[in-house]
Amino acid sequence: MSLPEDGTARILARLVRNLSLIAIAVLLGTVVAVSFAALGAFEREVRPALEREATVIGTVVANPFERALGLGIPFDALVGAEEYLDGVATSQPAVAYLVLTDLDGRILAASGPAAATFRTQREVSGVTEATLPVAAPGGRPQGWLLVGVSRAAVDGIVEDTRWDLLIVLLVGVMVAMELLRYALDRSVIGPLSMIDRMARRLAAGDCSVLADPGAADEAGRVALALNALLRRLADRCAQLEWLATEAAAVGARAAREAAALIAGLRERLRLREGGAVAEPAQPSASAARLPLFLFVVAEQLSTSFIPLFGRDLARHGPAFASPDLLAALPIATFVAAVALATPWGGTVTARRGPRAAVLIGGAVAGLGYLGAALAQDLPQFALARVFCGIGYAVLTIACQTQMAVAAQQGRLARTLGGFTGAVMTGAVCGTAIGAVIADRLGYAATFLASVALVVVVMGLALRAIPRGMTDPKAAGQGVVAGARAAFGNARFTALLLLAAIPAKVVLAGFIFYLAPIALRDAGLSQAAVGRNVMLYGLCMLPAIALGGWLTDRARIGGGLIWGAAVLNGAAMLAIPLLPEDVSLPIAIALTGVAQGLASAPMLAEVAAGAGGSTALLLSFLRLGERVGSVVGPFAAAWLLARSDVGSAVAVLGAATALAGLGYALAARGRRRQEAAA
Amino acid sequence: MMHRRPLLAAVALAAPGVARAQNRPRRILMLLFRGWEEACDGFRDYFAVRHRPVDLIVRNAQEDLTRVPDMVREAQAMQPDLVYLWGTTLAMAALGPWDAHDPARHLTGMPVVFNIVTDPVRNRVVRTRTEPGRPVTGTEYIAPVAVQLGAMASYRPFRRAAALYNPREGNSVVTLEEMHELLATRGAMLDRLPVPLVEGRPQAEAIPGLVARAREGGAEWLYIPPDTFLNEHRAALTAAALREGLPSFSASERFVAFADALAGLVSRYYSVGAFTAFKAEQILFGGVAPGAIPVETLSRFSYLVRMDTARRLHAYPPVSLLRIAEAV
Repeated sequence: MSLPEDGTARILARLVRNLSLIAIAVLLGTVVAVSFAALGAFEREVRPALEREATVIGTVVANPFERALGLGIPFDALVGAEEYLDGVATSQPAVAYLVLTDLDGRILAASGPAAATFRTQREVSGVTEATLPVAAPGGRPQGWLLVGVSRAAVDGIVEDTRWDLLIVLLVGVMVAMELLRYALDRSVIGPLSMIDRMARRLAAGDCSVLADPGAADEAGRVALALNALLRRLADRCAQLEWLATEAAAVGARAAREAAALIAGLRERLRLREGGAVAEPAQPSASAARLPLFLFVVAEQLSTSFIPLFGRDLARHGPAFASPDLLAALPIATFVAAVALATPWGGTVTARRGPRAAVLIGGAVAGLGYLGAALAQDLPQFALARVFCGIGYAVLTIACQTQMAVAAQQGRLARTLGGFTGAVMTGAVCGTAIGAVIADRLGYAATFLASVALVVVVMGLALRAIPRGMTDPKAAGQGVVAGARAAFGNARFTALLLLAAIPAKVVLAGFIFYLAPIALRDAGLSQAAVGRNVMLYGLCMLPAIALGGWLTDRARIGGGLIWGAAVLNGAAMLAIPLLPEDVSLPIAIALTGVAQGLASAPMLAEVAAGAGGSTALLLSFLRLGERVGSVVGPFAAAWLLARSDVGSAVAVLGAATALAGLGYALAARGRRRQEAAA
Repeated sequence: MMHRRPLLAAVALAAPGVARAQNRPRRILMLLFRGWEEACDGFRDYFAVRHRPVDLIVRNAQEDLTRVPDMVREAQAMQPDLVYLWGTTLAMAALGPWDAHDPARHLTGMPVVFNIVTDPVRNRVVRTRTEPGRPVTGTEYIAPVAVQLGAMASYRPFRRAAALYNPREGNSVVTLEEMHELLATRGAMLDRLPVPLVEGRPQAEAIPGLVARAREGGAEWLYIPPDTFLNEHRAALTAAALREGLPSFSASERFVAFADALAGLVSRYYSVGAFTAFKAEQILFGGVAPGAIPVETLSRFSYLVRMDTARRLHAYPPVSLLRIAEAV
């Protein structure tokens, strides 16, 4: 539920902002404190372990020295000590230095990566040292063996743990923000704006509409009191009119005066014949946002293991193809189901309204997750995933349409940006949590968790999304007619072909395919590659909000769409200018920013400028995006087979930038035509 | 060893007569070149430990090749279940080359195992190690020459080595030839010093002088090939090397274990004898044709270091070598 733009709204906006900031501060503080405590405990555990490791290495390394002394070789006549230490140091990556000294500390032999530092400074930072006496068996010590174990390996683990904690922290904050957004909307912004609307109507003398008392909170009580006031006012007016009729009987002058009085009253107060009626339900964008977020979480819970689960099932079934190949089947059926069901989802939403569509989509998807949990072989699992895909297509279109319909004047882009934001946030949270659930409880339990979440989604839809809101324009339109209408719309077609599809080709081809390969080639670990790819999402989320705000405020949506495409292309073309381990993360981040900036204006363009049904157009936009996502990796692989990673990225970048310029030209041409008309 | 269990199972299933036949003692004629030593102990003990009944009939050539024809004739008359041949020289004399076999002079029609033989392929005792090409098999006891070179260099890197040898012993000649070629590829060299012959017999008195010559020639190692004559005079040879301050490295056990050589990469004679007995067991009790049994060395060698010599030469083994070396 959004607020009108005036003083009250500003006060409310400040309230919401402050509440959010406090919540984030408390959450961050707690998580940071817990994380530091955990890391501290880790350090305390690690130090003794390192010392033990150094001692164990030392014991093994000292053995031949002790044998030599036992065989009667004098300590100062030991031959090949340094070569021997070299050999050990090379085979033990944890060793920073191995040093053999006599009893006075004079160095006889030293080896290892930090040996030179040790020779000059006798102390090396980031190294845990153990000192062992070197003696013939049963004899007196004749020298010392110093073993320095590098903390680098452990520091790497600590570093990874730190990143994991950061990701958990981000997920925690994102989930909290979604819930907070919903709770604030339902319990603060909704009621307050209801009071605000009522106060405004009353101030304007409009007494024809009653407030919705909603919950039994302060706002509800105020609404009840105002409604009572309205009814009393109506009663008094009726009484006054009766008195006026009575007075009219006394004489003509009294009748005139009474009539003037009543007319004056009617001028100031707008009363409805037969009493005031309840305010119609207010469509709320956030009413669709939380269900959408939770549903995406439910879907993404299984993302991390679906290929593994598919392969496991394929191994138990008849071997008519390799399990690795068959593992792709459930993924393929899901993607195909989403793509094919998306236009149908648009039709269902248009005909029956978002609420019914969310319930239908939820029910179908819930059946799918239940089937996936119970699946015994690959065909069953693939079929279950078809249901999941249909449910996903219908539900996401329904939520998107609900948000488009509910978006208030001047906030369309920002509200629709919220759709992409909710999907992205849900994807990040769902994947992260799903991996943990699958790890602890197994695959079937994870699918059952998805079923539970879908039930919650349906409950929320029943409570929060108002009935009705069907789209009369699309009421009689089938999918084919809808497609004809959509693709006959030049504005929509240009947007789809020159902006939406290229963006998805870049996402799937560059971010998910070429960038990981290039980063891997640049020598990054798997975890580091994952973090770099995550940069895309992290940069995209704030850019979505910014893009929405700019579109609504500055009305530069069209410019944002093509400007972002050009920026994206330029970032990809500029990769060779810097070393790849620097330029690739920058290009990934800029791709996130560019696609985030363009996301809200694109949806707003479809929702606002479309002549046809919003639900249908949105569904074809999403269908086109799916096509782009499928084409992307293939295009990238095709380019990679003919050149190298750098050239493939450059070609994709150039194509995106050109498409963006093409979109700019098309928009300009259309504006000229409109001006001429 | 791997073939044993299925074969025993087959035996257990066979008729009682066959089982009785399994208990009949097998007659093994052992033809030795310089008397009974540790390899023969290993051969005998293997059968004892495995409860395989064998009758060992021992004949000794006393290092005299002229006695070999009589020994061959006796074997032909006796027709034992197996003939055991000790040493390269004796094996070559009794068997002849695999591709020029003369039934009148060489052992014919009976399975043969050989023991303590150097490079049986170059010496033409068998065609190849995997397919002997005649009813003959056996074991080798010398580590490959390249491995021996590596072992010497890991103790003490060198550019020049010297070796004494009996020019009448093919195994020594062959080994030194190979070592010479290998060293040449590494930019190092080998001085080959044959022991002079008088009436065809090598002169032991010449040994100290030859060792001194090796030292003067700039040798950093004295390499001792698997040579029966040198083995007989091992005490004089290694003592001379010690006097000259020349580290000596041997391909066989006895120069280090029972003389003053500094080091050696060797097969223990006892273990080689037992390994040879394992092959004989396959023939005698497993019914495997000798021509189907490959000629092999033990897969592990012992790196022997005589610490007393090391002390006297002030040539201590490097620390990393001490992890694997056996001190004697």
